[in-house]
Amino acid sequence: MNKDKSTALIALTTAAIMLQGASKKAEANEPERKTTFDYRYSHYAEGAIEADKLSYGSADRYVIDVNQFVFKTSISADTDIQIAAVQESMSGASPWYIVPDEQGKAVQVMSGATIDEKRNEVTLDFHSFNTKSESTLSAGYSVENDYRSLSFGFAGAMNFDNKLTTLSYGINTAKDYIDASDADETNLRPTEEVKNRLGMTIGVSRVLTKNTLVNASISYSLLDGYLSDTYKNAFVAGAIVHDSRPDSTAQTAATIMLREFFPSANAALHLDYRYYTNDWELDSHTLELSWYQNLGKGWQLIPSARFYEQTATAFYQPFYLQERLDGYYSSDYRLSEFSANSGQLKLQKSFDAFSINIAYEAYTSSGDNPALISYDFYTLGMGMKF
Amino acid sequence: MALIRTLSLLLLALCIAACTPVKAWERGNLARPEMAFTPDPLAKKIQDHIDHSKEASSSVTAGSGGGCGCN
Repeated sequence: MNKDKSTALIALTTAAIMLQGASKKAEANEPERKTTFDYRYSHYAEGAIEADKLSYGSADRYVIDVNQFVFKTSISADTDIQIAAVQESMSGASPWYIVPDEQGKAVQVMSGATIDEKRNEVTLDFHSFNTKSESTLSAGYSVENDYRSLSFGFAGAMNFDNKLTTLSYGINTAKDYIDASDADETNLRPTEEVKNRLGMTIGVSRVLTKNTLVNASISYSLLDGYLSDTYKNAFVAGAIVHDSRPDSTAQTAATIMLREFFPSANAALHLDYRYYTNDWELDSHTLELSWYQNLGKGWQLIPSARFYEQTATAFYQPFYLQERLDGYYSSDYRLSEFSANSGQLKLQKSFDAFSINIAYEAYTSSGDNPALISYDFYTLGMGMKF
Repeated sequence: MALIRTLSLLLLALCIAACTPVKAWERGNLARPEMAFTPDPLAKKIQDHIDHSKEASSSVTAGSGGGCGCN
């Protein structure tokens, strides 16, 4: 009898310890108290704009190199601190405005000079936890030649029903300062502009079966201030005017995530769906699928695919043959109607206290705007535990 | 909206189907790293930044940094 009780206790304790890593998303379990350091290098390269879509300027698009660093450690029995930094180097030409060619087809004018910028970002998270709940206070600062951003956030989680259900919630705010480069030289670009953001999110996670997790969440954000693009113009009835968008927007997003483990295949399926809408009449759908295949001896192969589509904003046009009554103009491809597909392959090797992974992603988009992009993305990540 | 309704009903069906609670000692597979909602936070952060910069549907969670780097 004593041996049976001892065996049952060991089994329960082991399961409780294993469940602590069940979800990295905010769920109220005591996280592992270790010091970790993670680094990731990424190289992003856009494909050149096609010759028949280019009116004037450089055909070469953006190339970006990114270094990410994260250090996390316990500072007390129930508190972790995380410091993260991002360093980006960006160069390349950027879409400027669109004009109609002789046949009335939209063709792109690109910036002639090579843009060469750097962005640095630092974030700080304080995370406290107990067996029933956890909370995180965050602060972040990002700076580049023409853009500064200060952000704050709070996120929390509570678990119920013997940790089968987790309720998560959060609020975030940011203030961005926009000061266009070369403002005096090029068509009096906007300077000393401000953008504000306030957002909130709420979600619920549920253990459905011994192999199934599901999460549903909804978020709502308000933005106001200077929401236009400082470097883009629009062709309006023969004149070139600044990109001009409304000075406020409300946006809502709903996300569903499914995680299913298949013991016979020793693999997990990730399925994420996201619906987004804003009051500029833009809607989007995103579907992401990933398959985490364990290969033995710490190796894991992860193929994934992403499908995206969006409608255009109410005021978007590639070019305008007459003025709008509301004065809103934007030919930015990111506000146009388009669809995009991407595929990624990731290989990971994990040791006891060290892991390394490498991935490649190819992205293509299609629609009527001549500036729609394709890109190649390479990334290398490393993680250490102490 | 029809797709949203369908997915919501599917989610509800899944929840109803899982009426039997999962015992603590049955949750071993749920604790696997590949079962996390975000197994690689750094990779997700850079991916979200790219998606936010190159598409119109922003994705901002609590505490995430600002910045642009998006032209």
